[in-house]
Amino acid sequence: MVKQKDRMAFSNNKLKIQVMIFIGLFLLLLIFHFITGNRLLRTDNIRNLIVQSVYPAFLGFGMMFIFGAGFIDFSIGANSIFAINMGVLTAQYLGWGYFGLIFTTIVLAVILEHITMLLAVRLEIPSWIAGLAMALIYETCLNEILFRLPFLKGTNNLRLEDYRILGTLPFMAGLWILSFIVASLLYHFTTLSFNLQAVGTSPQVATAMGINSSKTIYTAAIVGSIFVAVGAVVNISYTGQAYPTSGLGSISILFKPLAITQLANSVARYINKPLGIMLSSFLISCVFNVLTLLGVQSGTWQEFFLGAIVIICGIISNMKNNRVVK
Amino acid sequence: MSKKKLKLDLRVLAPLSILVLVVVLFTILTKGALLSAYNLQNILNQTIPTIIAGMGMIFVISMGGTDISHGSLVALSGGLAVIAATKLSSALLFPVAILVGAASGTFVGFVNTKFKVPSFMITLSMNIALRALVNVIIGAQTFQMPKSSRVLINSIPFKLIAIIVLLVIITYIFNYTRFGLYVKSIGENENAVRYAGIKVNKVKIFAFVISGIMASIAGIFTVARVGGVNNTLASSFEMRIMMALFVAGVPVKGGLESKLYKLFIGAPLITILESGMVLCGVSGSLTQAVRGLVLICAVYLTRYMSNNFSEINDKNNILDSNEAVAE
Amino acid sequence: MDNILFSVVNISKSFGVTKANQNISLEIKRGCVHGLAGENGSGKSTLASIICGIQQPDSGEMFKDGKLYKPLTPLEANKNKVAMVVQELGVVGTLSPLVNMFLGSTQKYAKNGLVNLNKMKEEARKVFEQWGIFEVPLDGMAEELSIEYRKILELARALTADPDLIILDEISQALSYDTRQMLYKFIEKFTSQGKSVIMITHDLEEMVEVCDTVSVLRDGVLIATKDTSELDPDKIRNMMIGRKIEGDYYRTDKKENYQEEVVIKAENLTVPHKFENISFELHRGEILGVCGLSDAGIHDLGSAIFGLEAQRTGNLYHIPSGTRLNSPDDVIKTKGAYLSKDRDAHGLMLDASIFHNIALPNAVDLSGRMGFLSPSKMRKLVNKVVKSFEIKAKNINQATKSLSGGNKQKVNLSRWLTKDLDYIILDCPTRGVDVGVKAYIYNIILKAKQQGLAVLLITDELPEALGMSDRIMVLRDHKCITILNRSGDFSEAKIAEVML
Repeated sequence: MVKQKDRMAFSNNKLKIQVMIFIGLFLLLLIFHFITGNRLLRTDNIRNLIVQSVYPAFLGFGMMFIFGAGFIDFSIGANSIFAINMGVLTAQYLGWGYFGLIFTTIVLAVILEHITMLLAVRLEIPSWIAGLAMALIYETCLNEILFRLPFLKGTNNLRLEDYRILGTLPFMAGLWILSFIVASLLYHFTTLSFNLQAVGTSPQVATAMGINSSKTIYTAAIVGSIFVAVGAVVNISYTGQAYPTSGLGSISILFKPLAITQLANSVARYINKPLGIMLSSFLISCVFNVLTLLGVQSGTWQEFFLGAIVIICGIISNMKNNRVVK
Repeated sequence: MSKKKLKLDLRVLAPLSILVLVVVLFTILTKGALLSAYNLQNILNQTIPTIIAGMGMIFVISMGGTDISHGSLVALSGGLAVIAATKLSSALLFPVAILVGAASGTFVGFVNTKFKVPSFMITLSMNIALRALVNVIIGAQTFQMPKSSRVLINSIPFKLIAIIVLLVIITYIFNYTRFGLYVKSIGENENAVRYAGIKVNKVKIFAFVISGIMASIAGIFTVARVGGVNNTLASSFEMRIMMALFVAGVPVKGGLESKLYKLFIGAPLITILESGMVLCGVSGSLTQAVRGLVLICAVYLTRYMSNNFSEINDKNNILDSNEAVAE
Repeated sequence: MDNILFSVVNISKSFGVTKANQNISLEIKRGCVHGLAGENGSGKSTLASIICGIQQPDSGEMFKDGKLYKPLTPLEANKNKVAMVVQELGVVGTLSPLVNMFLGSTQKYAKNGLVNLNKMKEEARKVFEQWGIFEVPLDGMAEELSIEYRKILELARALTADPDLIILDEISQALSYDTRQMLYKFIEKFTSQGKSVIMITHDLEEMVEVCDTVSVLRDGVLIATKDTSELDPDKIRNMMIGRKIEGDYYRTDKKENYQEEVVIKAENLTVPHKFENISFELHRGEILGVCGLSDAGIHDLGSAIFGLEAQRTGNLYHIPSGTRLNSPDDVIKTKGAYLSKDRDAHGLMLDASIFHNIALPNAVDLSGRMGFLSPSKMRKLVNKVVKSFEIKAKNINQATKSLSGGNKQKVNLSRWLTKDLDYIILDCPTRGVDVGVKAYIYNIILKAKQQGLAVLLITDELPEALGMSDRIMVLRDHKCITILNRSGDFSEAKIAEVML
């Protein structure tokens, strides 16, 4: 067999870069630790870091599937907020408990996502417009429902008092890792993932292989929205309060995951996507934790950095792109 | 130029008739309150910034790009302009705003062309980042615009003159320069323009700059109307401009169907729609849902019509009789 | 009947005016390697894609094992045990080579939703072993594989369908010497089992050696089907290109005729993997033809000269102005122009009107101070162009996509020729154009040449190059092999000999 040594040389090069990335990450963390006066990696802060990584990671995995064929749908935020509010409603206020919390959220997230996908795929409305428009609609639906709930006079946010065990650290950390495992299994071992990547790379090749593009996209959206829903459940279990949004405020929860997925995309050649998302979720968490520890206020400079980081990650991830970009 | 014949163009008629429909509908529903002098004044005041900013955004949209940073850009440039006006001189109001808008546009254009990041992503991120900057600079306070400037800018003659001047300039650039032709052509087929040897990157950057500048100018008018700048000024402004353009039939992918006059149908339509709903007592959130629905319908209809009616349109296009074409 | 594995009966397919396949009939015997020869545009790729289900014929039928065979998709073809390795790469880069091999049928190896990659690997190894194919590294990402390995991967993928008939479209040119030997051994083994191979290749020596039978196509028509025992590369060449050059379609003079002044000078132009060290001088009033096989780099040369290949090295000058040409802007500024081969994607704005398409390259000349572009001036120019180039349209506001191919190309070409040009690079200017318009286009090119225009004519059609050029540069294997003169041995045979 010829080229055995070529093959080895190539994979050695790849290995080198992979090692360098990990070392780089490690060094970065050390630097962060140092500039925060040795506070970043203290045990009690690490639990903070983990807790902040979980929801964005779930959203990132969700995006990996939902955006997999190139449909950038920004209604995910409003979608998950709506779904989780209904989940809390059924769990806490209707007494359905954990079942209500988890089941309702998942079902609603899947349905709402499917609607947006229908608009983008069937009606061929550009995905970003469909996403923004549905975000407006989903936000409104939630606000209208909350407004009409008899027991909510005065406030408009639902509280999850009981059934919050998923928001405790061991569960959060465990679910974080579990989401990674599940995402990895799905990514590496399912026909859905293979077909989705084919559709996302080249629709013509996909069709020539006999792959049904629409079906793949819809199925992937279902899987993705399950991740989004579970993430929302974990998050609400932690925070205890569900806030509705308006005026496209729901988009802001998508920014960290956006940065995460962009980062993961840029190293996708060396670090497989699920692992990339996992590591990025922790890294982004650290970045914002550093900002907090250094006294940068939430709501002002932190938001600024949020926007800036998404742009930077976007630059990194698109660097080799030669196609026409609008 | 021989006289232009009236174009019986479905693509003009449709949004126009929807506008008429909306006006009639809400006049009935509000029992005439829609058309009261006070309300008309309101509508006019709200439409003007939309039109001004729309005159800039149409450049970006006609290329097929997106610029949804306007809300925060307005707040930022307005804020900085007001601060300069109060601390230094009122004459700095417009120049500072224009500078900020131009800087923002340059940044977006640069990152989009050199680094190939989709404009949607960049401007969405900037929306957040710039709003954060506004919070940093202004905090929870309100910065008042100097009274003299405020009175001047709010006066009808000033507004009228400003709109006319801007309209003339923008119409010129959009319809009577080769830059305008290039911008729309990029929306049609970017490769065709590149292969014609035109510097596509330069054109794109300049389009974003215009968009930024016009947004900032619109911002000054908004600030003058409101009285000052606070950190939630002009939230969702970009949505409103986008809708004004899409609802009147400007295609999302841009191209040569992006016409300026559509803005003058779309902006009043959106404003009247919202004004009408407010007067009817429709809640804020329902208005938002209506916006979403309108957006989807507008985009879908525009595409549907351009797919199915372009041939008819061509047949109806009557050439000036002097210029015959060899058969 | 038992001897015939596959038959094609009166298959026809047209794309607009272009008749890609005209009533083609042939039979593939069992255990046979059947070669398909023809130049670019002869219709062999179209025929192959019809056989494997990528396209449907306009008329005609196909039979496999005596039964009617009508695949609507490549997947259906696979189910009928017909597979193809296509010419353009069809590999999904982010997936592993293993998954690429089974893409579309991975569900077969799934248990409880998860695909058993190990089972797939076993299957893959079986295929490699069974047919003696080099084992492609199955892990990692397919985009890491060399072009050669990707080709082998695609061959392996075709074999997973367990085909009786396999079509290999230009597969050997990507392969090194020993990989080709592996390929030939595989073909031997394959056919020894009564299965058949349709082989498309430009390497005529290879064809004569490996194939049992050869069918030659020319201009969409099947010229002949003969056993290779009766053939040699020269005979095949003659069948491929032997045609009458129609009357005064082209030029009638037999001698090169151009001015001394050099307009464009190229030195060692190189684009990695596309072409290397191309040097030439283009004179005023000269038509320099450029010919070569589809992968020889002739089309990339055009876009590289225009300045669209970022990795181009070498020197390119516009001599009269002394400017180096590095970007499209340089070309335009030195009064040059470039027409890409793909006029729909790179030339015209199809949804826009004729008016806008013609105006686009001319805007810079028509615009006055402050970039002012007068619509009436544009209209005048457009009407002038439409009239003088006899473009057939209802009015200038007609959408360009509704024009015939010939008229589209007229729009594409005329808008440049109306400018005051020093030189122009044309890539396949009469592709997809009917005879009448072809003649017209040749006429206006000749007129422009007489007025001093320097033309670089890149084309897949040898007759066109021979009919129009003063000199022809022939490329092979990414390099310039020779430059022929009109007054010398200027025949299809000569070019084919050099090119193939």
